[in-house]
Amino acid sequence: MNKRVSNDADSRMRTLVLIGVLLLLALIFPMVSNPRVMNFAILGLVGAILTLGLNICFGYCGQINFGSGGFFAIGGYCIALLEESLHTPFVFNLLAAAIFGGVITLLMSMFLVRLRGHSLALGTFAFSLAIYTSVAKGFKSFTGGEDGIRLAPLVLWHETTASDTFYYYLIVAVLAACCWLSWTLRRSRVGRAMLEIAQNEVAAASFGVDINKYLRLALVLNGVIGAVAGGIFVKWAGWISPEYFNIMSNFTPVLSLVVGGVGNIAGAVVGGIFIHILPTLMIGLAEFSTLIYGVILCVFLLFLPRGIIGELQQRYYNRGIIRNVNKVAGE
Amino acid sequence: MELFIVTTIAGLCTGILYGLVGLSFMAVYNASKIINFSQGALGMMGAFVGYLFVFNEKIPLPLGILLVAAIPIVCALGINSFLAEPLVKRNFPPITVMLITLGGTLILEGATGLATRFSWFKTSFVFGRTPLKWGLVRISPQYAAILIATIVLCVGYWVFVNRTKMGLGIRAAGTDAYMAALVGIKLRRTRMLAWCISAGITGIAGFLIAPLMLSSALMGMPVVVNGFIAAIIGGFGKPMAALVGGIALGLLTQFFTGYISAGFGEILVFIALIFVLAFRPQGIMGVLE
Repeated sequence: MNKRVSNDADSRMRTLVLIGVLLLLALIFPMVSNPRVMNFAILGLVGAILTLGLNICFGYCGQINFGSGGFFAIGGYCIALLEESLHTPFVFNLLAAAIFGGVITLLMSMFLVRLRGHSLALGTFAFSLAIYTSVAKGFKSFTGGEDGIRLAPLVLWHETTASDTFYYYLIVAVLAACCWLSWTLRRSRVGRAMLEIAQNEVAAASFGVDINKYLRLALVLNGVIGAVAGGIFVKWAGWISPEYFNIMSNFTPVLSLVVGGVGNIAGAVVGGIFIHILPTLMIGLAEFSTLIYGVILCVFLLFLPRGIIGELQQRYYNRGIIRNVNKVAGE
Repeated sequence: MELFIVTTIAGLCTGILYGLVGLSFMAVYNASKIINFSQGALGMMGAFVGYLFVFNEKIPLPLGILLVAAIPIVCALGINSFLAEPLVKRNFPPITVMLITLGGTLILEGATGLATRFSWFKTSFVFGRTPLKWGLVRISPQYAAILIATIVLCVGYWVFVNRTKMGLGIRAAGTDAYMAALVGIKLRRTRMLAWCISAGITGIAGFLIAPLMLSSALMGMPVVVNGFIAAIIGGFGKPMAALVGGIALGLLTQFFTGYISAGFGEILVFIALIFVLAFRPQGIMGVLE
């Protein structure tokens, strides 16, 4: 028992050092990279943010959410439409996107939490499809349908437009904030309640956990994080169209989480970066991407159900202490 | 008046189509309480096999229908025994099993996509294009075929699952796997049978539905979501309820499209789902458990 305590303190020290080194690496990264690599980095980090958002819902509460593309679209279109019609500054728009994403998700989740498990997954998927068709077909006059909306480059001060480096730091900051949020959530009463829901819903209810409330909260956090990611991404890309939120975009965060490790913050970041830069890395093999995604998903679920990071932690880091409640592996 | 009749017919037809898709979920759901995500890809396989053999090779229709059911069954058995069963055996939670069926979907869709280069494959109406007339009612032979197939499959499935020993075994395995094993039901074999039934229905459904929409390797998923929502609206777990929910949903979307505006199909489906969840969570025909 004593050994376990000291081991825990050790691992906390190591975690702090690791986080410090990673942050330092992230900060000096733009100085040593070229624009092409920068593109990859931004794509990957946005994916990591999306995956962290999903991690709250899937990793902590154990409920799969296939609505990530929908949240992303809400944020993106909120920014684009506000900028086009009201010409408000970007910071205001981003805030509005976050709030709007949260409100829409709250409204949706009030009813969808009546579903659980598979049904919730398909319900959120229907939500995402509804968002997709409404921007692509239904509200064509506002959103420009398939043509999309072009966004002006972000002006920082004195007509200097924001460079990729600026976006990179912005995204790293948001990612760090999301990591911190996930971390504190895990350690808090709320996070423990969520983990309990994933473990055993009936037991959680008998401890007085209001299951629907925490599921709503998880979905709303997921929606807000997704909307912020979408907003920043769209502003960086300078263009928004329904193409960004195709069916596959709902599956990639789930896939990322499985690859990295479900319920694992570091896993979500690593998996998110890996899966989201994968299609851009495979130049000329774009047609294979669906097949490769499928194979990756099956291989990980069959042979590495804890994900890359979860498995590494289990083997080398925590030395046998199971700290991550990993719902996928049913531990 | 004519618009009303035309819309009603169109709504019924779309509804039956949703119902057929909803029905295809049932066997696997009844046998293991798992929603099989790969259903969409299996339906797409049915459409693709139909395109390859019935439209291109012009093989006789009965043989074609046999193939259209058989090849998805082979794919489903592959997904079941190589992907889903190993996870079930290791006691993984159902949601993980569902995720791996999603993996199977992506593999099937990706492979077919490579074969078709992700472009549309054009399927034509097997039963001709001259509409069957009956007073003001005109119905395309394709829809008539879907109607007949749906009724036959629905009634057949109902009889199978309620009146035969094998079908009762499927339901028992889903209700309480442990007890079912105790009374001598072979769980593995029963699940396999359920996957075969589901895949056969899905293959035929995909083959019949394909000419009515643009078919491509990625056509399956949206259709499956609509069929699934139809099943929730009707009351999940019962074959007839899927049909009722599908017809309700089909009428709703077609009337909205006909009288108010087009282009809101998915949103309407989602709003209908929200309403049912808010006011009648057990579905139109469901009973509270």
